[in-house]
Amino acid sequence: MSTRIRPSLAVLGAVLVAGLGVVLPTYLVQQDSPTTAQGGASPGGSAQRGPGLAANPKAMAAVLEARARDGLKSALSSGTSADFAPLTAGLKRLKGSEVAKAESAYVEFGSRAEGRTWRVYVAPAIDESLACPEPLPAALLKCSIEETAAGQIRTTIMATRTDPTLGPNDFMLIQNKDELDSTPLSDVRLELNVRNYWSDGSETSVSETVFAPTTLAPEQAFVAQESDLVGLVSDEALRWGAKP
Amino acid sequence: MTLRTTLKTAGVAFALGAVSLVASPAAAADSFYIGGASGGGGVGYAWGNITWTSAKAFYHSAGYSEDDCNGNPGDGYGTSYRFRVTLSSGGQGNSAIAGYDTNGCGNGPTGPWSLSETRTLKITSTVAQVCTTNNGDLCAWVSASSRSYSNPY
Repeated sequence: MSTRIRPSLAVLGAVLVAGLGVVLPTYLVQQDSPTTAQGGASPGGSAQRGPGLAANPKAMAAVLEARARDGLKSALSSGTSADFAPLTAGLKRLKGSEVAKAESAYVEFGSRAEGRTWRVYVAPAIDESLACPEPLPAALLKCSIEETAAGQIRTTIMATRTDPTLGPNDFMLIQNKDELDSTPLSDVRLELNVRNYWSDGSETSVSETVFAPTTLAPEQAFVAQESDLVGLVSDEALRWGAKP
Repeated sequence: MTLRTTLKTAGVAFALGAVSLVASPAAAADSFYIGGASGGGGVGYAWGNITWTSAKAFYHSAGYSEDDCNGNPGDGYGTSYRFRVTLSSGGQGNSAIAGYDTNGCGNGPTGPWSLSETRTLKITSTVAQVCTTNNGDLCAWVSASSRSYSNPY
């Protein structure tokens, strides 16, 4: 559905924005230029770049959970509990009261015991650009890259498996097609991951993980719609941003 | 000091050293260098030393971890490593994460890392494992393992 803004409203909006620019800090109205768009969709539109989640750590848990619940509402039931985890640079979990020290964070819904989890992970910039390996390894059932106004978005579906030599929470990459075909589904873990590298380098990543799927066919294995995950990683409110 | 005294002293020292070697294989050390492929075409590496200090403990030192994209653009996943231990009971367990590199490829290795691992049961062997980080999991899965190091105690 396209939305057309009437000229009179556009003028009014421009006047309001100009007026706000006088009284608000520059970062609140600063317009970031889109990244290298190559004809892809623009899920985030020409979003304003605010200071990001890191600028207000106390609100991080609430914002993450609320936006994630909204973006995943087709997959989550209202009673699904959320687990918020602020993390150090080394991904060590901090206490909730230490959130101001966080270098990244996630909120997770569901559990392995329930067979399915959803995780929204936010992190500051790292010096990388996303890519899909060629040829695709057997563990990657899908890999695609899209350049959008919100950032560089990569979607992958990865297959891993349990192994008796590993711990109960560890999984090995499936190495080849024969292994993929011969591994019992009860030992398989499928993960649909969509991650966005914003133009400032921040990362927003959303995953649905299915343990012991009944099928390897993505459209049946995953509950969340891929488009919902793309929408979530393009949500400006879920960008880590720079610490003030 | 005369030559005779020196030789005598050296002989005693040698004998004492030989006795101590027989009595205990103190500070038996191994070094490791491991790498494991990630789904994105890169490789995670880890290397360092393992020194067995008793039947129930070893010490890891001079550890480094590196996320190497192996010529590919980065996949956004980092690298970590840890030790899988096998106990005299036959049970197995994991050490804490010994080191990690979540800086992305091309930034060089991180380290040095160290770790002390002590168990209430005898540790019969350990193996270093490279893990791939994912979305806030420091070790979401293990993509490779290397040879096992036996405890000489």
